[in-house]
Amino acid sequence: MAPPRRLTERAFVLVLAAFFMWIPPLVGVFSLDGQIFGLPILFVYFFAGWAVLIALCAILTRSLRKVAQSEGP
Amino acid sequence: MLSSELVILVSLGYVGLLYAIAWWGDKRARDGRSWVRNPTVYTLSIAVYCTSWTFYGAVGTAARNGLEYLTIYLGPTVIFLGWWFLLRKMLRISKAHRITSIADFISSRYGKSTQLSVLVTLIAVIGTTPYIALQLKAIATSYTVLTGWENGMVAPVRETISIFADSGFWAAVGLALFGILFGTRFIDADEHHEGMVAAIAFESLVKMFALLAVGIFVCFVMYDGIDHLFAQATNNPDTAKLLQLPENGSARWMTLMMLSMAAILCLPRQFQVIIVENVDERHLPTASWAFPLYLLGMNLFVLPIALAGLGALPAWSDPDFFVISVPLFEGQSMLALLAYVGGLSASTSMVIVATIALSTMVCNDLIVPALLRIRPLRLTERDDLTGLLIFIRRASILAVVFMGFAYYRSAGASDALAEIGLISFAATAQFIPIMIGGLYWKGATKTGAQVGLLVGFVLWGYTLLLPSLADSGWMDPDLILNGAFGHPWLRPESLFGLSDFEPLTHALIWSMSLNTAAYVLISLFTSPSALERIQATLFVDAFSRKGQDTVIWRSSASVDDLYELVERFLGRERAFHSFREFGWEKDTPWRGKGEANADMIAFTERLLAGSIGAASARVMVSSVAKGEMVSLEEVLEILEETSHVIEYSQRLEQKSNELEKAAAELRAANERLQELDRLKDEFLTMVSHEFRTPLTSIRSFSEILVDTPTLDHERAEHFLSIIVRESERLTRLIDDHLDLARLEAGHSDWRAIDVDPRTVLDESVEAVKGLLDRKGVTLSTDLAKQTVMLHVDRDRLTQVFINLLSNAAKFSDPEYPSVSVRGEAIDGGYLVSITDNGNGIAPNELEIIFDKFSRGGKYADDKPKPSGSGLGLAIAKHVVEHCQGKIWAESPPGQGATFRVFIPGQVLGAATVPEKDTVQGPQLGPATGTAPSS
Repeated sequence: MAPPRRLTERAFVLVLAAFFMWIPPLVGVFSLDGQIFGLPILFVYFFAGWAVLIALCAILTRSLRKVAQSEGP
Repeated sequence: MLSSELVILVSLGYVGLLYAIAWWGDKRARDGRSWVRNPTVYTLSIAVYCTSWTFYGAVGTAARNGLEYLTIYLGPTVIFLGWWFLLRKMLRISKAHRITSIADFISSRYGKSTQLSVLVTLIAVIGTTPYIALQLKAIATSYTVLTGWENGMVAPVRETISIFADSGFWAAVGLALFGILFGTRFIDADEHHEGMVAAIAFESLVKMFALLAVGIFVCFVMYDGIDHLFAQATNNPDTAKLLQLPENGSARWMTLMMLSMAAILCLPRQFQVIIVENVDERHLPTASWAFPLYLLGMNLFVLPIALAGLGALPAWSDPDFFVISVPLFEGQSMLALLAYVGGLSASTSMVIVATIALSTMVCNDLIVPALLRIRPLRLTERDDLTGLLIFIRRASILAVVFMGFAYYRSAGASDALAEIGLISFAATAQFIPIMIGGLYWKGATKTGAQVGLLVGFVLWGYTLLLPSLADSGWMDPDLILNGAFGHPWLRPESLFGLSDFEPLTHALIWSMSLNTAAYVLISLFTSPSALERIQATLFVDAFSRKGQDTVIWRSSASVDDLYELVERFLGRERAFHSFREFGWEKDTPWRGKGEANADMIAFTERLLAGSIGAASARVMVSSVAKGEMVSLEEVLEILEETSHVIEYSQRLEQKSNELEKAAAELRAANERLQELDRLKDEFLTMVSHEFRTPLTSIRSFSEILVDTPTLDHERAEHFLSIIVRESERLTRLIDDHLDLARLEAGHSDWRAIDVDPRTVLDESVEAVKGLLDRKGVTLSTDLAKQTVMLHVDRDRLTQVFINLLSNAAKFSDPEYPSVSVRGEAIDGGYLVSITDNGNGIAPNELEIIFDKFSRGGKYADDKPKPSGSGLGLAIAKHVVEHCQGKIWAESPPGQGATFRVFIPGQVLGAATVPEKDTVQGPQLGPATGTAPSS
């Protein structure tokens, strides 16, 4: 069975999002003075983004795993 | 300040604990109750990625370049988030081909090429040596920092101490011993080292715990919370710049991201834990988010620790060891000891996995192929090779560890930890083009891969390794400054005049781009061998293929030959189990002198590939399979031939199917013809019988008239009238018959017009009035006012009604004959019922009376009335059916017979129904149940 297209497309977008979030020029945009909750903006940008992507990946992986299993060994 | 005795004791105790865990993990695995086979342990074992470079070096990088240290962890995160696309495929392929190392993986893809696997192995060993040196340096330095902090000692003074006084030496010895004990206990068919994995997973927990402990101490004990720490850092301009991206750092940032993405795929130890040690593909999805989460945890406090160290510690302290020196400075010697143990676990886990992975490669892809090629050794004929293999691997482990130690003792180790690590990363990144290309591009060839890899490696050595060696005084720095042959274009750090980038980016731009270019171009201009083509398809289409590849061997090996071959490499017990399992699974004999089938030979090859690599396995199997292996060109020819034969037979099959179908049609047509023939005979019999009756009487009366001239006039006239009547009947019979024949053939003319069935009925009743009167039949007509317009042939319909009416008159009660006619509009059509009060029709005849020549009223007592042609009802049925109507008879016992005709009306005609009376809806009465519905 072919994996539902939508799922793999979402997974692909997730990877692209992660990659482009973490390379210039986007990282440069967040390299600012100032603070959020007393923390530097860039620091928060990296770690909050990281955590969000991990959470999204965990959610997406649950569905992908089912696809992978129904695909057989 | 901690005494060196205590630190040594703790170190020894910790390593002892590792040995115990590994031993226990191995034992559980052997007992079949593996503790290692779960996604958590798998994820933790991947965390061997975080070496002392992470543990110590990341803080150092953060103290020098700010957030740049994150790139090394963001890259792997991207790769793991995209597990579905790359890692899953690599894993699937490696499982199918029993891949044992990255060299094996690459050489398998390019036609099991030995040259390629040798090249990959060499690069991997050379590239990993600085990395191992880095770990040894970290262990030694952290020991020095921990024990000599207050004396201002920051690094072991290697020049003045003997090798045996160097803690790095003892670390190397201990780690080599561990690798030997748990990496090469036996030669396993699938290269799983469960004990080692258990120890690595444990170490990952320890290093994370230690780093988090130091981080929390720094943030919440040294400072009043993390925001307070950042506030102080912002106030100091030196540290404030660390909170933002370095100026002009874009190119380096990009380089580091790319390098770390490549490293997680290509580092031999990462390949070992992610791919080779994986026991279940389903663990990967969990690791896809859990491993990034681990990285996130490891990195959370790196920047705070760096900032705290910069803020509090004296300027001479090495930022690389802030993790230890900050707690020491704060007087937390136990926390510093914990940090030291964390760093120790980060270093040891890397060295252990890297040496085991490299020893497998050196043994399988370097030494064994070489030994197999030296004919005088007669290695292919030796009895037991397991011992030799284990010896080679142990020697390789020792060699690899002590190469690292030599590098550490002599050169390079003066650099910061991160810089050493990056040199390693850049070397292994050279595998990326041929790996990714091999996974997605079938056109890539072995020659292309070899040349690309060689170009990339040479450029790496020239632009990155040489300057590093020159820095440590091993080489004349003149070459670096002025270029080879004094030509400025050949300066290693600004090759061909490219001088806008820092050395690492510069080296990667040249090595990776020329590597890829050579790989692609040469692949385009060389043609792959047959084996390469097969392997390329197997790799690229890993998901679209069912089952594993079976490379065809012309079988001439006996089962026992193969068994003994495997026994020599895997040992008695493992050979026994593997073959028994295979035999059971495939239901074939797995011992004996019998000839082995191709499946079993392929199985043997795969089994051997698991312990000595694909290339060597092929050589070994071909040494046993006595007839030569079928050349792949031959195989392809056979395949082509076979596919022709298959195509041909498919066409034959198609043809025969068509023939069968045609035959079936013919048979059906024949049956139909026979049936028609039978019907024709029957019909002829009947017709001749029917014609015979009037003819007989005509003939007999004529004979009487001829033979008896004395016949009196009155009688003669009577006879003549009979003759006339019978002739008329005969004419009518023939007319009816012709009529029916026309109807049946569909040749008769139909002049359909819109008519009101009531007028047709009236006319019909009028037409038979004479007959009815003659017989004294009482006629009652009941025509409802409601009507429908019918689109029919008026004359034909009249004919039907007349027929039915005369039949009714004929069969009604002889004494008090009565016939009733009823017409009504129902269901969008018109229903006519004609009822007599005769004897009715036997139930079994209700259907057949509409057949030709079957007369109704065959109750015993009204036999003699053969006055009709016997075709009337058949004609009526034809006419009615031609009008899409229905005709049928009902005969409740003792109530005479009712013939009903239903003809569907026209939709348009229905609109013209005159509505004079209150419409009660069609009056259905008893007819409801039998209302024509079909």
